[in-house]
Amino acid sequence: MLFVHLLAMTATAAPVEEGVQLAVFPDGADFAGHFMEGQVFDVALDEVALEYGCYDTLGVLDFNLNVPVESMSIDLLSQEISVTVTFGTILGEDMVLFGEDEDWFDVCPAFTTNFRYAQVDDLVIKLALLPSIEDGDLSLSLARDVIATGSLHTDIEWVPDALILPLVEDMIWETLEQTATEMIPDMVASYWDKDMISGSVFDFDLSARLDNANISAQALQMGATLEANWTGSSQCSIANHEPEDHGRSPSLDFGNGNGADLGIGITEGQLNQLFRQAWSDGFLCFPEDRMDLVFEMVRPLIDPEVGGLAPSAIFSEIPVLSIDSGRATAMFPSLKLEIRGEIDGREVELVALDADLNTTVEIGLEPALTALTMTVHDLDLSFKYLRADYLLSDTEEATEHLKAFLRNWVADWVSSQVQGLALFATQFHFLDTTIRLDDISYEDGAMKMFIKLYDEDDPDVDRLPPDTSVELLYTNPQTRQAIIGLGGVDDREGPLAYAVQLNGEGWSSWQLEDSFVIEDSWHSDVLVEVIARDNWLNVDPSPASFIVNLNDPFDGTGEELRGCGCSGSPSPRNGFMGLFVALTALAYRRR
Amino acid sequence: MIGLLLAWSQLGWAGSPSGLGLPFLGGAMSSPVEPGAAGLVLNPAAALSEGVELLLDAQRIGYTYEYTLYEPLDESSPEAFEDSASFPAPYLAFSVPLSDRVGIGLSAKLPYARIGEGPPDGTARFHSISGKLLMGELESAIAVEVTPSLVIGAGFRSGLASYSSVNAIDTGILMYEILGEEAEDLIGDPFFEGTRSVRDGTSRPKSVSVGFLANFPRATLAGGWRSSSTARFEGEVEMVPSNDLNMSLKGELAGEFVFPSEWFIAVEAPIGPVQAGAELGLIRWGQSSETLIAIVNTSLTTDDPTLSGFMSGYGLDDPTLIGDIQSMGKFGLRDILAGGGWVKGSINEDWAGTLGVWVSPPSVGEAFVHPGNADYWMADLRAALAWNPLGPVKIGLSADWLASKERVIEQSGLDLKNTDPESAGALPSGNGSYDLDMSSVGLSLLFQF
Repeated sequence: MLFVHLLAMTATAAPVEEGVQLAVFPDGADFAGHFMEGQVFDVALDEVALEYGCYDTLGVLDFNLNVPVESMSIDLLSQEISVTVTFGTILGEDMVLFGEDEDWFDVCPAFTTNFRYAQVDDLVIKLALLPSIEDGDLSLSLARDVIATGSLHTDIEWVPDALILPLVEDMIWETLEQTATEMIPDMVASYWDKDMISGSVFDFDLSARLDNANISAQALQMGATLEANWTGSSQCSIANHEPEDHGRSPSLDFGNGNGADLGIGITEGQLNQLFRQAWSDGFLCFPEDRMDLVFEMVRPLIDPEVGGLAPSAIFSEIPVLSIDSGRATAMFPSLKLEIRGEIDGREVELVALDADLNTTVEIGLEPALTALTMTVHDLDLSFKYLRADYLLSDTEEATEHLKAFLRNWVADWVSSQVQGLALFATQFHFLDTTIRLDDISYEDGAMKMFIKLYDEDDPDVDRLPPDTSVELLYTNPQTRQAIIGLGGVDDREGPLAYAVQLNGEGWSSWQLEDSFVIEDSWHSDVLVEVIARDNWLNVDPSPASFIVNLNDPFDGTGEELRGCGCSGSPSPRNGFMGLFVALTALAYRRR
Repeated sequence: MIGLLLAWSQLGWAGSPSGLGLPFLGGAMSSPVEPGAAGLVLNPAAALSEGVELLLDAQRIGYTYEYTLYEPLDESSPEAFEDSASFPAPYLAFSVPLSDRVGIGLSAKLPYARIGEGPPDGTARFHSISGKLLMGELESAIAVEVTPSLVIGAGFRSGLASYSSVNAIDTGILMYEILGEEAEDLIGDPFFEGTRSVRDGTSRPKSVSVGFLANFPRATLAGGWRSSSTARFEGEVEMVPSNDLNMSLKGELAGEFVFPSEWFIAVEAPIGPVQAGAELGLIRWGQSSETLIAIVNTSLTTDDPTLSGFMSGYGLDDPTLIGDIQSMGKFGLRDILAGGGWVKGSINEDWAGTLGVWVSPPSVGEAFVHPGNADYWMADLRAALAWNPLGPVKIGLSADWLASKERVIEQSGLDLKNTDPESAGALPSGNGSYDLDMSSVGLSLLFQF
């Protein structure tokens, strides 16, 4: 009766409502079985014994079994997890069967005999498991006794009593069943435990605690609380006040996963908690030596010759994120930005501003880049103050004009620069397994990610790199510009991503455009190298290369060049603009 | 630099052949068919005179310039702008016969001049806020009688040109040129409105002239050629990329402007009691249609001592940081053919009079017209009197009224987003109406010894 009640409790468990919600779909559950295939376990016990009949002890010395796992299948049922393990031939050899009896009045003589071998064929063990959470981790317990089938053969030199043999065989079965009962649930649980979402990611130590679990025929769903500690160092002094919780943590419905193996949902409340933690650790404080990210964004406008200024930025209040269907909105109250420099040892504030920054952030997937991308919309700046006393003239509206420029164009420009910005790769390799993030979706209060797993023999996995090609399309000696066409042949259909290197000075980021603009004011001949990458991250090991002579006019396209995000040395006018923007917007210290 | 050069082409309207850039140059008694000081204004062959002659002429030129731009930058309703001013135009010439067949002459004149000023916040501020272009020329000439009826002459012209200008600039256009469509919104952004000033631009161009005077029994024929002169201006340029910023770019101007060459031919013959004359001239304004301008030794400067120290400390005032700035300006100037005619005769023993009309077409193509360079179909109507009460001294009075045809531009090629170097340029549209009223009065003294 107790057993039935336990099952009923599991089936009607409350929906998962934690900050991180995990879903292991049937295919993903079964995928864990791949890790067991081919594994061999050795059972070795000095003695297995019991009291039997007139024997005080009847047992086996040097008990050993070599247990090869042939396959393991895992099925999600509506109320339990069904695990079926099929074994290869199990063999134990060179054991000793013994019987001990200290009584003198019975007819059970003590004996010792060679137990030449025990062999189990066609062993299949079936387990029904119930998920639960113990001490923050997944625990799988037996819903009922295991079912083991197979045939056992033994070869024992001499047995004093024919009844002993069945007893010995039962002992072997029980040992096998007990071992399987102890090992298999823990092994299966270990594939889906909190370590799935724990570990070090970039500069964060992620630590998860599982809080609850729920089983259905569609998925094993678990709820977790995630903590993230930023491991970087900060020179900033963060206001030490306890922030209020913000954000919803709805129960997520992952459905059937649409073919995915795993689903990971993160709620608005969890994200805000992570942001709060990161913020209080100083992650959102950008002293001068952490302005590289910003510099990368403004590099097209910054003349590299401009140097020496010291920019810094800090989000002095806790950011707040909201997730609604289709989008995420971030509010960064009180962004403080400063550009300072020194004159005769005296520190001078060139620009200082305090502004509230609101924006819509869209995290998406770009399959061709195999990357998680970020797109920013509706970036809005609301100024609390803006000081640029030395930079600005004494005209009446100078400050307002600068504010309008920053609030309108700069905000739009930053948004335009952060369109589909590749953040992180969505494909990883771990334990001979290819892990790919296949889809991201938003709903009110949470975002969901769907993951597909591939083993090393999966024919769906592309392992052949593309073959890169490159051609010259256009050269204009007057503008010192050239366009090259990028291409490649791959064994699979699908777009390719390209990276370009000029004169061996470093590879560009991956791009999807099949053309690239070269601008070089100083060199006549430019060595161009191109590599292609398919969406399984296979990179052509042999770059295609050729030399472009910028003095040699060529027009294969008629395409007009202007406003490109070109590489190459800055022209004098770019220098002027770089200077202008550098002084009005931001500057960067060259090291 | 485009605006700078467009301001120069304001001279386009000054195209009458009788007076170089200024149609009434020389005063009441001047004419290309006149020998002596009164003819030296255009023809070096006039240097051979019967006696020593000295001509002093002073003109006062007044104008009223009115324009209405149809598409103000701030999208306000079009408003007419009117500017009135006057300026002097002196002329001095004398001729000395060295023998019966050889004479020399010297003339000093102001053949090209244009001065204008508008409000710094006016609708035409990007085209011009203020500008001045003056060209003083000293021409020495020698004339030789080849035959009793033919005199040829040659002249060496030494000029002193002065140029200054101020106009608003839109640095947003520069951002648009560099960044492309994503910077389109910066065009017209108040934060990116600045000014460009050229100060103390001077040049000493050199050129030559040749001409002839042929006296036939019933007519006098004159003709000649004046070479173009290239003014290589040197001066100071200051560009304030944003009026809201406390810094500017300063550099040295290194620009060229070609004052056009001219061909002329004139004839005068007695018809009844009067002398009737006509002249035709070709002014090669097309030679000035493209000009290369450079700003060299450019550095970032500021008047703020703290910011100045800051920039110096971080090397931001290093001229190599910015480099030289070069641009090729296209101004849509074209050659023009202008001409006119006159009659003159004696009123009595002491008085003589001249009536004439000269007509010149505009030299600036419609696509390029804006408030800083507009020119017109113009008719110079002249009436002049010469009084000779004192033997060797003649006194002349002249009055000119220049009737112009209002110019209405509806297909301006100017566009702030126009970054095509082959077209009109990145300036606010010139669509609008332009009208100029101009008149002049002059006093001449001619001494004949």
